Amino acid sequence: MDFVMSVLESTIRYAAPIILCTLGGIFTYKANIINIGLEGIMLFGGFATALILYFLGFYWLSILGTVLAGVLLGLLFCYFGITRKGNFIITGFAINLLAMAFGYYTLALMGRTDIPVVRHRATMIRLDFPLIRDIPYLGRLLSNHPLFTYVAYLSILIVFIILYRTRFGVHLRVTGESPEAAKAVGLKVDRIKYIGVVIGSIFVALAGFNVTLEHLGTYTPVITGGVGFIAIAAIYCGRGSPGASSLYAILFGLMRALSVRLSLMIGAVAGLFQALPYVTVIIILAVVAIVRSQRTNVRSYSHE
Amino acid sequence: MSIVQTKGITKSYDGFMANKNISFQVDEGEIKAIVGENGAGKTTLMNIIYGLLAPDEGEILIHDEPVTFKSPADAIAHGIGMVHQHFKLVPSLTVYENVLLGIEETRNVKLGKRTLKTPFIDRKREIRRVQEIIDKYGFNLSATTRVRNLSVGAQQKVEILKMLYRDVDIIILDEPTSVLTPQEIRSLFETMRWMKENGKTILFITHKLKEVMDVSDSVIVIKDGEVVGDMRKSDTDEVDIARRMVGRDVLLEVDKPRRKSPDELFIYEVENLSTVSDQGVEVVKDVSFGVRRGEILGVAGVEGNGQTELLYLLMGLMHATKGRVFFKGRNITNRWPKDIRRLGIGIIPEDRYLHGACKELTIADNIIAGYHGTPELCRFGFLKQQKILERRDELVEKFDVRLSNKEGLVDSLSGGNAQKLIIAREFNADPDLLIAAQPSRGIDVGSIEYMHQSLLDFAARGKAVILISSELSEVMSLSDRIIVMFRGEIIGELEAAKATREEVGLLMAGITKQGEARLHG
Repeated sequence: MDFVMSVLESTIRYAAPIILCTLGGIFTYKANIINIGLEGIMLFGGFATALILYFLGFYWLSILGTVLAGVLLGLLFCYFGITRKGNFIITGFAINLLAMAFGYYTLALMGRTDIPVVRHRATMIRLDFPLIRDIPYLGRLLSNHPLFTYVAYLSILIVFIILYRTRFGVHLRVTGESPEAAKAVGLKVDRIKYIGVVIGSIFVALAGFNVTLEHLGTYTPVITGGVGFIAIAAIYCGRGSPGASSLYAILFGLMRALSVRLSLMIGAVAGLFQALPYVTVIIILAVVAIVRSQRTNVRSYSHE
Repeated sequence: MSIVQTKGITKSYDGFMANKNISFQVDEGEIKAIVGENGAGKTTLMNIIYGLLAPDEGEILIHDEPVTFKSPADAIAHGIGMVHQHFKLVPSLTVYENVLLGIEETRNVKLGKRTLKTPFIDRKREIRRVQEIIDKYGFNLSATTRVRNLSVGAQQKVEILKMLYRDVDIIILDEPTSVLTPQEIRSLFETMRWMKENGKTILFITHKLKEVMDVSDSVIVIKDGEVVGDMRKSDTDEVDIARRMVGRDVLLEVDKPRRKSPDELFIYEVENLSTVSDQGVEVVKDVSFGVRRGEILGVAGVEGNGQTELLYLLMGLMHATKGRVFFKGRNITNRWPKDIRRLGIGIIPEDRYLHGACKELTIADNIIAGYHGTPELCRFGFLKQQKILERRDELVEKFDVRLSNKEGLVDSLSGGNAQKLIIAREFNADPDLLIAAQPSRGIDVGSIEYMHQSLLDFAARGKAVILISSELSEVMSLSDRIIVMFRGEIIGELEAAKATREEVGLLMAGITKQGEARLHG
């Protein structure tokens, strides 16, 4: 029981940044843009978090800084990908390299191997719900998590509302699905894509905040550990629906929790279990692809 | 009095003059037809008037005021709306969402005396507004249906509604009839007349002369980007317009030679063929037919009734869930395109640049595509360049493909010449059966004549042809027998010699002789 509880508890924790990345990526997915730079944006977000906390120490300022870091990289992606009509894959890849190189460079300048922010964990917001806390088992799972873990789960609903209930959401989906229809009624397609990518990047950068401060308490250029790419898999499997994609994100979070807990139990061969989330991604992607190809009667590829 | 006027509109793309010094004027409350062959520059001109393209030179006057449009939104603000030939609708959205795209009604919050706009859409109010206007214009639609579930005719109504809702005075209809049944066309014309009575001005682009004479008040003829005729309907006739369009006399009807009666045996037979689309809809349902040597079998139907999927099944691009296909007595169900070609079936695909030719490859590469593995052209996996170039020169000459540069890419050919290239390739393999889908789509009148004659000659040589086309007149004039598809099924079969346009038209609309509409077939 204790094992199950600890796995479930970790799942909630590990899934949060994946969900944030997934939801952020959905904005670009809906605009029919592939952004493989999620990993880099998240890393850069965490970098901004750590840098501000380390040098200035203000909690709220670090959140603001993280948001700005997301906006900045989002705009960078848009400028090269949309305005300059560059290749999205190469642009995204460049963002990943840039974020990582930036981290290493700064660490080298500081003469450190990481940027510790553990001491700020004492001042960060944790939400404790008195009534829920006292429910057996469930209380332990649902209470006493840091702010952005809750924000992640709440965002599933927020993103759904933005995409399906607001004017902007309709426009964003239309620019992705049929840009011709958007142009024909005079919508500014590029502007809508810009806004979508930038909003999405904010969610992704906040995943960096979540990991850097709220989970690890330190920044190094490897903290993201492929979350940005796992999120892309989640988006693809859930076909860009906020609910379904988030469910896949939670599943991948569960795998990560399992790998960590099993490693702790078993010891020496633990390294093997660290591959678990990534192996799961590959298996699930393969299964989803096979199921989809069996459902279609169109041979080779269907062009859309 | 003039409502729209253009003065010296000129537009060129990479040195190609799409519009040359075009000047004309449209009077308020008239239906003006703009005719010309495919590629004559009609759509370019309309896109300029609608603000989708900027002219290189010249100006547009609305109510005698010069205007500059940066986007369609500007044109709409000046009262100009356009219904495009390829609908600009979002399939996953509903009718009301499409109609209100870009002008959504949002919820307002009252704070004391001030009202604040929120970004949230007021769905109830949107649905009510759109349903009101649907009912006002007597369209048989529901505001909450998803557009992907609508027939093409109904989708066109949504496009028209989009413009009416924006309260435009001038409506541009770009080739509105190309996807409709004769009955739907009649209903569209009624709507056009009704809009005219309500004070709207209509610009109607078409290349079908009968329609011009039917519905318009005046007509402008465009050829090679220039205005070559500007007249009242009463001062002209179909022959005159056709001559101006093409620049020479044309045969409006093909001469079908009497052929000796075909074999009794089918060379190609399809039994109960069915398949299911990605959306889980049975798009081809229990289709059975056969075709004999020396015979042209026409497959008619409004676009989107399963012809494309049927073609994919016959070409080997889609997998049949049920049914069998026989060619010369052999079961060839679900064989791959390569095998199908090797057995002696030639294919002229529906989408020339998707399945017919590769734009980014050279003319020589395209002329051998699909047959590149044959021993004459290929040895130990290496292509015989000399032989390939010889074949190109021979076929380009024989099929009269007009090209500016022999070494050039297919991209440099006009639509009609690209089509000739495909015909040359398929005929050269000397198949016993030719499957031709929409063979005359998007090509000029001259090439269409050539295309039609080639098909007739081919059949006269004792070969079989399956002609899938949504151009009713093409099917009627070339075929010996016609089958009509409706919602994935064959709803009727007719002898071409005895069938009338009306009969085929009714079948295309899903109405069988018993007089009932098959709504849930």
